[in-house]
Order: sequence, then structure tokens, then C-alpha cells
Amino acid sequence: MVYRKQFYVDEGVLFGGVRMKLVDRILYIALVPAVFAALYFTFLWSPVERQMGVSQKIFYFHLGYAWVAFLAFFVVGFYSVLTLIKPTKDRYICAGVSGEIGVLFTTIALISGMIWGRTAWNTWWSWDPRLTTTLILWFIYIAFIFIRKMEGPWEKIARLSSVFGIIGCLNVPIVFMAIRWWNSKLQPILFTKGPAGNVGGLPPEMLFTLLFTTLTLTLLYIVLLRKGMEIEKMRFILQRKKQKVFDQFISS
Amino acid sequence: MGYIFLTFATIWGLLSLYLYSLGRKEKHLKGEIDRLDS
Repeated sequence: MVYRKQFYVDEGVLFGGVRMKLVDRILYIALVPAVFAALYFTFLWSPVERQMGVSQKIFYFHLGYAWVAFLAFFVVGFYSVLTLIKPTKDRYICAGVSGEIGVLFTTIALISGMIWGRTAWNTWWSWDPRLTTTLILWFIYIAFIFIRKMEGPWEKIARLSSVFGIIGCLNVPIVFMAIRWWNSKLQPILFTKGPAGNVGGLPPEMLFTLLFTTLTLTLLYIVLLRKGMEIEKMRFILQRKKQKVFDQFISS
Repeated sequence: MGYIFLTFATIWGLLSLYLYSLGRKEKHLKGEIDRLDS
């Protein structure tokens, strides 16, 4: 394709054309069997929980999406700091695409969490510390996305959105620690002992399934990030081409 | 079982919507770039 060749000759900072195609091919080939394996481990291999039954299996994907959303927001925070230090298009694009994927994954985590809450606690929503802080995090990144959709020079938008990106990233540890700091009555602490002594604890099969699902979703995040960045870079190419055509028109 | 179906329908729906919007965006940008190149 013409645009692809020209694009990477002009903007080739992050990826070289051939290398990117190969990396993407490997990622796609790895992702498809990983998704099927994750579904197999979730529904057929991992044991059925005694109290909740089959509904407990929501948990693997719910937690996986939430963790990968946190990873996405850390990436946003990292590139937002770099953007504030020195704004470049690559940093701006990476932070933006990662933020969008983070919002998507947080939305999935919130909705699947609500369904989980209905089965486990008999309520769709509770103003529990973790749920509340996650909702705040979601609103911060919605604001981040809206700022990036504004009209104007990209450097100014990059600086403003970076502030929101960093605020959101700082909220991530608060979400994680919320059940420890405010002594949640609903959410169990899975891997350490909480102040209330409510130790979660997982059998090895469940732990393996959870980690495998999270790894698969991390792979999905990387695939979406690369694709999203490619598309966002095309937007900049288009802007520059339009400007070039406009300048030629004015000078003629 | 219904709750599991609801969860996976949500995941499938949201991911499909996101991928569809990415695809549309890419198609639009490719079309515009090709138009300016020709």
C-alpha cells in the first residue's frame, strides 16, 4: 500500500514496515489460541466453586480486564509524564490509545463486576470503596478522552490531557489499596491478609486460570494498542497531506 | 448460567463495537490518504 510505505518512511520512529508486520502476525497467531485456551481453562478445567457455582467463572475475566485496565492506565501515566517533559507525537498517540483501551476494559470490568455483585451479594451496585474509586477512575479517563477530542494544536491538547492522564494513573494505587485502607465488607483480599482478617485465597487451578486469562488479555491489549497507534498515526499523516495540498493551492 | 451469558455478551458486544469503530476509522483514513495521493 502506498500510504503504508510513505507513512513509515516519513514517520518511522516506532516501527519499521516489515518488522511491524511480522510482530503483528506473531501477536495475532498467539492471541487466537490463547483466547480459546483461556475459555477452556475457565469453563472446563478449573473447578466449580461450591457456594457460587458456575457464576463464579465471571471472576476470571472480570479481574483480568480490571488488571489489564490498570496496566493501560500506568502506560498512560508514563507517557503523560514524558509528554509533559517533551511532547512528541509518538508519546501523545501512545498515551491516548492506551487511555481508550483502558476505558474500554474498565467499562467491561465495571459491568461484569455488577453482574458478579448480583450473583454474589444480591445487589447490582454497592458504594463499596473499590467500586466507588473505580467509577471515579473511569470518569477521569472519560474526561481524558474528551479533552483529546478537542479542536486545536495537538501540543496544547497533549499537555492538558497529560495532566488528566497522570491524575488517573495516581488513582490506580488508590483503587487497588481501597479495600485495605477503608476495610471493605464485600470485597475479599485475594493475596494478602486484610485488616479484617478476611483472607481470600485461591486453589492452584483457579490461580493458574486467573493468571492465564490475565496474560491473554494483556496480549489483546498489546494488539489493540499497536493497531490503534497505527490508525492514529495515519490521522497525523492525513492532516499533513491536507496542509500540503492547501499550501500548494494557495501558492498557485 | 444466565449471568455468565450476560457477562460474555457484554464483553463480546463492547469489544466488537470497539473493533468496528477502529475498522471504520482506518477505512476512512486510508480512503482519504489514497484520494490525496492520486
